Amino acid sequence: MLAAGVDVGTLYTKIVLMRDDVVVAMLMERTTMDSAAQARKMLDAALKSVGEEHSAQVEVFSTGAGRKNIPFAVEQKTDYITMCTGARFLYPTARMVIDIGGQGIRIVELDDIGVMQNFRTNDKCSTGTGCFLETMSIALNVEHEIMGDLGLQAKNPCRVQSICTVFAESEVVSLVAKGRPKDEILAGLYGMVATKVSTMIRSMGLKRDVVAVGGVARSRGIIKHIEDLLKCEVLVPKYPHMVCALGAALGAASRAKRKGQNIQAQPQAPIAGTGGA
Amino acid sequence: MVVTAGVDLGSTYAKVVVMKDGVNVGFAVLPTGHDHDETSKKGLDLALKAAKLERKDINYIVSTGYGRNITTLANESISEISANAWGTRHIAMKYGIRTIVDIGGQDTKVIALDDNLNVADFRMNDKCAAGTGRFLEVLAKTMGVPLQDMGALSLQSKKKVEITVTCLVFAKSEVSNLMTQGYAKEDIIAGIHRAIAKRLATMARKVGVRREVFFDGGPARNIGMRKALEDELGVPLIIAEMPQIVTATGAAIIADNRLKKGTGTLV
Repeated sequence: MLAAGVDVGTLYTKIVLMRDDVVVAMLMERTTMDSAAQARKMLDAALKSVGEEHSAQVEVFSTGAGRKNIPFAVEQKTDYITMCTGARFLYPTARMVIDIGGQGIRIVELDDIGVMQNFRTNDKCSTGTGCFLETMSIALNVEHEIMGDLGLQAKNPCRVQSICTVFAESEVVSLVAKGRPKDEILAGLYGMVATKVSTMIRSMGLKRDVVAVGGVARSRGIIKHIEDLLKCEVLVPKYPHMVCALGAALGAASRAKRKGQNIQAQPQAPIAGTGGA
Repeated sequence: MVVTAGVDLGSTYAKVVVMKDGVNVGFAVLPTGHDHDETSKKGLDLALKAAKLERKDINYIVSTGYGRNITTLANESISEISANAWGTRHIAMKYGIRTIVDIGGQDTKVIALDDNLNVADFRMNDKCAAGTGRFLEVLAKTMGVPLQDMGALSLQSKKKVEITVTCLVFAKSEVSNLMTQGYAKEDIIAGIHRAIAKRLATMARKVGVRREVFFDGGPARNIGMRKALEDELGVPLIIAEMPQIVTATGAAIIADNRLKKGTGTLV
């Protein structure tokens, strides 16, 4: 039985493919304008990598900002649902899930059996999102893939005064012009993101365990700053950016299973014959 | 003869006004650059040249704006709220202004004046780029349209296009998306103006919009921006001949007043 989750994010599209409750393939690509064709191509590539045909029967759930653009998905799930499903699957004790994605920060509070109790989102402002980090990586001329570890060791973090991404970008440019080392500037930016996230969490009341998912959670610098501010460990899965797609795949898998059960539960067709026991 | 100068060091442009006996005799507008002190000196020299005066003729200088404490020229610095109100009073006295809407390079302000034209209340946004001059500038660049052409182009708009997001970073992607979807440039530009006007109007309504309403700052030169704001607020706007130098004019007037009160010292 095959099931897949397609997470069409604002910046990246992620696919998780499961076979019989085991993740067998994961793919991520920059989101393009034609997300339907892109997602189909990615799904085919994932199927091929595990020796399945294009025509193989796959149950697909979509999630993310572009979830409505996936015609082959049988159900669309909001990011809030899939991020929690994925996070609880990986960390059954999770009570708070932070998702920092390309254009959004979402924080969801769960009760101890995993039912959503409360949530907060950044909604209007890009500060602290993946967009923010990409803008800064361009201003600092560092690959955003390696930004995560750079700045962890900074002894003298810069104080970034601005709140707005656009103004912070100018501030970063002038800090670079003043000759401040990149890792110190980055540490300042991490502090800025961490302050925003921890303020949102505090306004909801901290509940342990805290799990961080989404692409920005790959930045160890940001996670460390959040941990320092919250004085609490933050759990990060190995592939945090895949968690929403995983949640969607898990949902699809359980739907496929239910469907299978339904077939079995159907009354058996009458058998006519003679003799027998 | 009393010669004073007002230096308004904005985030994007520096504005200098030189006054002789309370009359504007020369001004300069130049990009702020990274050295505020150097820029203010350059601006002052340009304005003095226009006024056919020299630095030694100046009796008192008041600085204002974002970099007001960085310049070494000034005898005194004053907040841009006060300077803006003084400038508006001086320039638009006969109109009986009660509300000032000002868009700066990195901030937006709405100032309420009481019946004696003193500052009664104000709101300021300098935390977020949404609705500021920067918003207009960045989106003009995204669209590949020169900033000064935005106003005239937007007047040709025939179809309403909405910018649905607040954040400038998100608006940049939304505008690029609208362009790839084939929306007309002028319609998108009109949408951008409307988005800024909406934000300003929300802020203005918090202070209370009383007529007459004065609109200044660089973007007030943009006819499309003026129209959008008039539509949003539902009142006609009074615009200065040179909307960019209102705050610098205010600073120069304050300098002039200091000398009249006898508290000024010679430079």
